[in-house]
Amino acid sequence: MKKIISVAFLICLVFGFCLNPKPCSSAKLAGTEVVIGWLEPFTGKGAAYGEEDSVTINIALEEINGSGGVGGLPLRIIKYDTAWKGDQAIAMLKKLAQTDNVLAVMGPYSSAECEVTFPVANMLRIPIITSSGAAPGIEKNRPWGFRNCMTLAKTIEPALDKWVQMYNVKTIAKIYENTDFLCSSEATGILPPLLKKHNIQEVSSQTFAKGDINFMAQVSAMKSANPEGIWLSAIYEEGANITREIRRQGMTQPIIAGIGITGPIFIRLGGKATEGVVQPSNFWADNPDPKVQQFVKKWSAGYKGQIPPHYTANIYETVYILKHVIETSGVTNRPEDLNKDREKIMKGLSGLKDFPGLGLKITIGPDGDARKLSYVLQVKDGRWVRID
Amino acid sequence: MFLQQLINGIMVGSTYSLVAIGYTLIFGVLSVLHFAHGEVFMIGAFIGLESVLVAKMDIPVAILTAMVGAGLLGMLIERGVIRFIKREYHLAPLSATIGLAVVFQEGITKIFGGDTVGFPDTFQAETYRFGNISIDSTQVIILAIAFFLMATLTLFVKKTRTGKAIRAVAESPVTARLLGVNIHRITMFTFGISSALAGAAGVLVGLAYNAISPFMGTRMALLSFAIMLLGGLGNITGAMAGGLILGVVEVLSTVYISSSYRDAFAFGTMVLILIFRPSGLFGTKLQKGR
Repeated sequence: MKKIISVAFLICLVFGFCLNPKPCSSAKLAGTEVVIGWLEPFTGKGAAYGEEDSVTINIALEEINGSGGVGGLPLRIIKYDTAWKGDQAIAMLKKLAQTDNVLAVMGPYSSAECEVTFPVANMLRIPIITSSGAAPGIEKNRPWGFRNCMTLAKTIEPALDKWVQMYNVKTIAKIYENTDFLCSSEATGILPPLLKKHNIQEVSSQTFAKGDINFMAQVSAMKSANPEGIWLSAIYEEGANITREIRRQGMTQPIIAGIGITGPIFIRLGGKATEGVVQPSNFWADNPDPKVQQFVKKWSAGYKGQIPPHYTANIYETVYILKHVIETSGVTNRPEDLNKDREKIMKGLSGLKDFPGLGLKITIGPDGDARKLSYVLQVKDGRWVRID
Repeated sequence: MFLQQLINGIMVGSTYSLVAIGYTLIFGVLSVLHFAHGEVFMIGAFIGLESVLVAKMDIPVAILTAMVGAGLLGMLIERGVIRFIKREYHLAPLSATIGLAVVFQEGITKIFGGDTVGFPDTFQAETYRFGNISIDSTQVIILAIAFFLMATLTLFVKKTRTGKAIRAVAESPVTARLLGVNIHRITMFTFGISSALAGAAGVLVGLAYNAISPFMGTRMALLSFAIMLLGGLGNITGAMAGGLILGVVEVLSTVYISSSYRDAFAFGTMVLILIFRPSGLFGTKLQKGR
């Protein structure tokens, strides 16, 4: 009897293991873990982004490591604080590449940090992919620099087209943050040719600096120019306050904003004044796609019941893009193959086509920038609603 | 249009004045540049916000709570840091307060997050229009409170015994001590009232612009420093007038010249005044000895 039980136990053990895919599938990659780096501001003025993206990274790590990891190994992400400073981002990139020996790096956050960090990644020959640095010019850092965010021109054009069609605007006043690389590129580099295309005349141009809280004077100046519409290039904190001031001073003109104000915080801070504001975005939180809704639900549970903004959705996709590329481009994960593995990842990213992102498909173009759908969203009853 | 801008400028400037008065009082008494004063202003704003959100207080009570909280924090800074730093190392208190500013910024970021937050919608202002001029209720309240606090402080410093002691310490700490003034007590008290004013300004600015963040104190500290120089070191009336002047210059230069040069005009005005009147607009004899 004992013998029968022992044999049955053995059979169960063997079959049990083989029915469970995890222990039975031999790890394709060498080593005990797959390590990638992540540069993000956790202190200083960008700390709020670091906080939000940390929630996203934890969700992605939990999902990936809970379903077999990357190539059968657990994924570990080494994160370093850039404090929104280029020099610190460079120092941390070097540490990731030369000391931590990571396969690839995600980040940094801001366009200004990407501008100085990407050339260093090129020198170090390590793939780097940002999810938010959208300003023009960063794409020149080929072949190691990548962006999983649409560049400004490609994102803004459809929204501006739609807005002009909706409101038939012939004159605009613009206000932008001149201390932010992204906002000033948007307002002074991308916008003018698009305005020209629509025969729109710019009647007032106002600027402000990062951290400003009082916009009375700029809005008064715009008001006296009496424009038919308003262009706003700002990060959401200042953007919300400007919008409040515009409405407080009795200006009722339609407002279109660049990508900096994206996300629910703009609406929360700006309140009713934000109603009707139009903006482009690569992420639409109310997308009925189950994958999007699952992400929104998890993120909301992890971050004060809020709705995720587009840049955090981008970084979620970026983790999965790297997982996909590491698994499919022949990476061995052996320490002696580190340089070859990095090159394989770089080539894998370059050839990425129709990767399933959050409710849209992602293709990396020859310039290293993602090609993805740009939604046109408008604030209606306190939510971003798709209008394109 | 011009009248509207003037009102806007005075409103902006009145909050600058409140913070700058604290700066100048502390400098007057201790000859210490308190670079964490902007962060005390920021913490005052957070105390006010939490009083409203968590303790469900009304705005006037929240302002008082912020004043008490910020005042206590100021006293703690004096008692716990400034008092232990030897005066003969001139840069030491300056460096210590810069360090404190960073600690406060990062500490508040860790506790409340780096997001900009604001008062609930129920506290949003009503706007009144008189022809082309629009003024909202928050502006009126801010102006009233700022001027009330400034007037009270001026009377306090001029008329009360403690106020006289503060002036005595500012003029000559050694003589004041010989006359029986408790220097430590007066210094701590000065930090307390200066910080309380900054706390009130924090809530008022938070109410006006609905933007409370751990980094809101940085620019305010820089502006207060400029205002202190503009008005005359250690001069309370100078700080009040300096704040209003800077506010008006800032707003008028934005509207009539260009917003890109706003800070250049504001700080350029300061430089011009210092060139032609090095002791500041309201510079006193007291300042010349420093």
